[in-house]
Amino acid sequence: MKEKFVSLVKSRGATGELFEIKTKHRSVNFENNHFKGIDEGEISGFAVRVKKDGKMGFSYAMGDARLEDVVNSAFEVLRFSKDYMFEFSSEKEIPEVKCYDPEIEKESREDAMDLGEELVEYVRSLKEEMKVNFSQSSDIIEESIITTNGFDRSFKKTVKTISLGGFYTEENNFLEIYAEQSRSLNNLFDIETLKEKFKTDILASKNNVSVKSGAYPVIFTPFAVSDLMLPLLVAINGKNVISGVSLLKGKLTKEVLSHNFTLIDNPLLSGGAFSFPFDDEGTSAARKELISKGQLLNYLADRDVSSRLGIRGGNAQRSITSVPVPSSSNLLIQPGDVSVSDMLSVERAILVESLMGVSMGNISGGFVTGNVELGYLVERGKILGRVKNAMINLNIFDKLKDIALSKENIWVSKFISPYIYVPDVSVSSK
Amino acid sequence: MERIRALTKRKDVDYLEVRVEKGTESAISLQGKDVETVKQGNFLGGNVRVLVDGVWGFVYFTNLDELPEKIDYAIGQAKLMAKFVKNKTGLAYVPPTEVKIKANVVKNPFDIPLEDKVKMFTRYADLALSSDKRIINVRVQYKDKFKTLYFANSEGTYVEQEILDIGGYIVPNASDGKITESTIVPFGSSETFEVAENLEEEILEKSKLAVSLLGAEQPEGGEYPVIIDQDLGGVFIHEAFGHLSEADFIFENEKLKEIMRIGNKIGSDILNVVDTGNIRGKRGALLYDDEGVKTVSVDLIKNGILSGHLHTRETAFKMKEKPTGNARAINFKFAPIPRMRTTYIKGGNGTFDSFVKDIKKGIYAKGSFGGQTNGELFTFVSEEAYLIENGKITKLLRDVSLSGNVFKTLKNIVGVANDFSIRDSGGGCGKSGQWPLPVSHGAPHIYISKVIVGGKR
Repeated sequence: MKEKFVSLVKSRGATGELFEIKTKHRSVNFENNHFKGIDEGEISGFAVRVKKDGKMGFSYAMGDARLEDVVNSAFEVLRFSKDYMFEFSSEKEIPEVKCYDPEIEKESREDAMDLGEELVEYVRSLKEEMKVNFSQSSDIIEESIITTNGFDRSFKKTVKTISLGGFYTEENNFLEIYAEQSRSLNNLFDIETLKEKFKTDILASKNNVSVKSGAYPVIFTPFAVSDLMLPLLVAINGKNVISGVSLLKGKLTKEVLSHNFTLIDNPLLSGGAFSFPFDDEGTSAARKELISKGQLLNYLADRDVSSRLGIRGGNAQRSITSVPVPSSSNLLIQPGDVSVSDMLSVERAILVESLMGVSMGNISGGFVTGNVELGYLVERGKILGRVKNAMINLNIFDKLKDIALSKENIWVSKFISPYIYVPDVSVSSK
Repeated sequence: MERIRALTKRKDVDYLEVRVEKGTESAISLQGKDVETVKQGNFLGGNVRVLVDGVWGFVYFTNLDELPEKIDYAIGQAKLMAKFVKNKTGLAYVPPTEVKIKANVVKNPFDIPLEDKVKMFTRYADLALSSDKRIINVRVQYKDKFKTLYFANSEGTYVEQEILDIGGYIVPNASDGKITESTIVPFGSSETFEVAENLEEEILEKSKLAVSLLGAEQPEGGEYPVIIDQDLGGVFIHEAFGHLSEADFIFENEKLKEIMRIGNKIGSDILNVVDTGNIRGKRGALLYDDEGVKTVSVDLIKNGILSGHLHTRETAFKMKEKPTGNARAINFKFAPIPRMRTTYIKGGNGTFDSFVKDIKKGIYAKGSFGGQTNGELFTFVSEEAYLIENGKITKLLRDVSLSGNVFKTLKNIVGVANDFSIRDSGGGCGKSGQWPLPVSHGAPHIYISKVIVGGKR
């Protein structure tokens, strides 16, 4: 396929890139406390990009397809494209990254089922009426990229995800607790953290409390940090910087967030579910400090963004059916110097575990607006009960100027993050 | 396809089905004036699902030559698992059927040269960008997909169904350097490219609105009487009640069965809600579901009384109800689960003007950026909103999110207007990792006495 591709593209005086993926999937599923079954599958497909006179064409095929047809189809749409300045990868130096574990590939179904049984029982020992869902999925991904510029590499990766959900219902009082962990190495799972979360949440939501509308300090647990960070991930994406939508456009080296806030994108993280040796267009992976002590240092970039903004790329991600775009890998927020217990000992605060609806709000405007799906009212270190029917609303570029970060951090899936204390957040309620 | 049919005739299983999906799609995306991507792609894949001794086996694949082995594998899988499954399952009966359905195409997007499509969308982008300096960017997304679904099962059902899906949106972004605001011109259809045409006027209006929103205030957070328009009303009923009606949520949960029992008073008397596959041209239009079951319209709420659930054959069996044709899978990688099709609130007797007059201090929310629910709580985000003071619409508000308790809110509906409409969007519904499934929703203007509005304090 490789030689054929190179000659097909070169014979038309163009350059090109062939992206191939094979995925083997298995998931063991428990629903409503019971083992439900196993889903398995295999998918293979490839995508082609061709470039001539600065114009780019893209086409893909999943399942039965001829390489010639897909290459032709990519050439067919090339004429519509904007002008691109970058070249396909010719990189030679690719770092080593630990993101494949034969243990995950070999793991038996029975092991997953045993863990499922154990976790279902554990959650029900905390609250018998809870309906528990469990899923353990593993994907074995083989990715290879060939370019007419001489890049020809592949890597194999495992991604295992354990997810646990608990659901309790009574009229006008539904409680849903959810936690997951994704890793590429089997020995990095921390089941105790999952259990601990369920224990804390079940205990804390024994009773509901109402809060009045007003300004509150809000503490985002590491499980809620992905909601809080949504606007930042939009703003830090180089594509949005170029389009002008990013509020961080033109702010490189400026102080944009709290002086104690540091955010690192790290695809080299050993065992990370989002780790890779090279990105989805063959750019070598590198750790990127995006924000350091509040100062904006970098944007996420693919080869296109990299060529336009003059910054390092290496953040391209895609599926078979889509063109590469800049996206984050594993994200690390550096811990601070306050202990969680000190953080919770404030006069009054809302502790947020998850928000609902944030992604639909004005995230490019910097807003985190959402219903408190799971959160608690805390007074001087004591959890008083679950907060419901409350909406929080904050603009991260105003409100993340003076935050506190906990010493402790938790590796959820994408984020490794401390607890984040935001002193002044608008909360709307009845 | 005769081969597939022959392969499903197995005696050593309770049930076996094969689903194969073959199709082609194209997409155009613009960022500002630049054509970002024009792509074409083809896909082919399938799956086998078997039921052996009350236990499911499911396998998907992209290499169709392996189908016989995959069938054996899925059966083996289910047999192996049988000893671990305590909760055996079954399927509600449906009569075997044989049918071939052609897509109902009015204006086929695949007949239109890519040149013309790109030209039109570029014109749209230019229009938005040149309408005002403060429109700093516009995003255009367009996608069309044509697929044929082949379904055969061991009961002798064979359904071959063509499905066309068209969707997209134009999003103007306005910014004054400090604030950014977006609006959206969505479109979607299952039969005609016409929905993507002649959007110039609306794009200009929405660009103007995005700029106006820069100067608007956020509402003061709190509880208000709220009027929602047809788009938001549709999203509201989809989120707030549609998902609750999906029987996989209910069928193994005794407490939910009680809450969602047919005959329960669930909403105010004026509330009528339907889910149907039978509205032609809508993205939620569907004649047969992914279990080969002919779709039926379901009255979910009739005069405030809960009247139906949305089923797969399995959930119908477990709840001793009839299958409704709501078993849907986004693609061959997934087994079907209960999903909505076109969900809507029926028109009533009220009028928008009378609702406004009735409100001393409240909010009128229009247009949708989407919604989310966990069963009890829901959130949705409006595109634009207005303050209502003493029976009059006064000022424009930005970034309005609405939230509440599903059950209380359904009972707090105090007005249903007579101006029902359904507008398709280019997005879709997400559930259990299956996103974006084409669905439609609509409503008339709805007046709700209490809704929590997020905002400044």
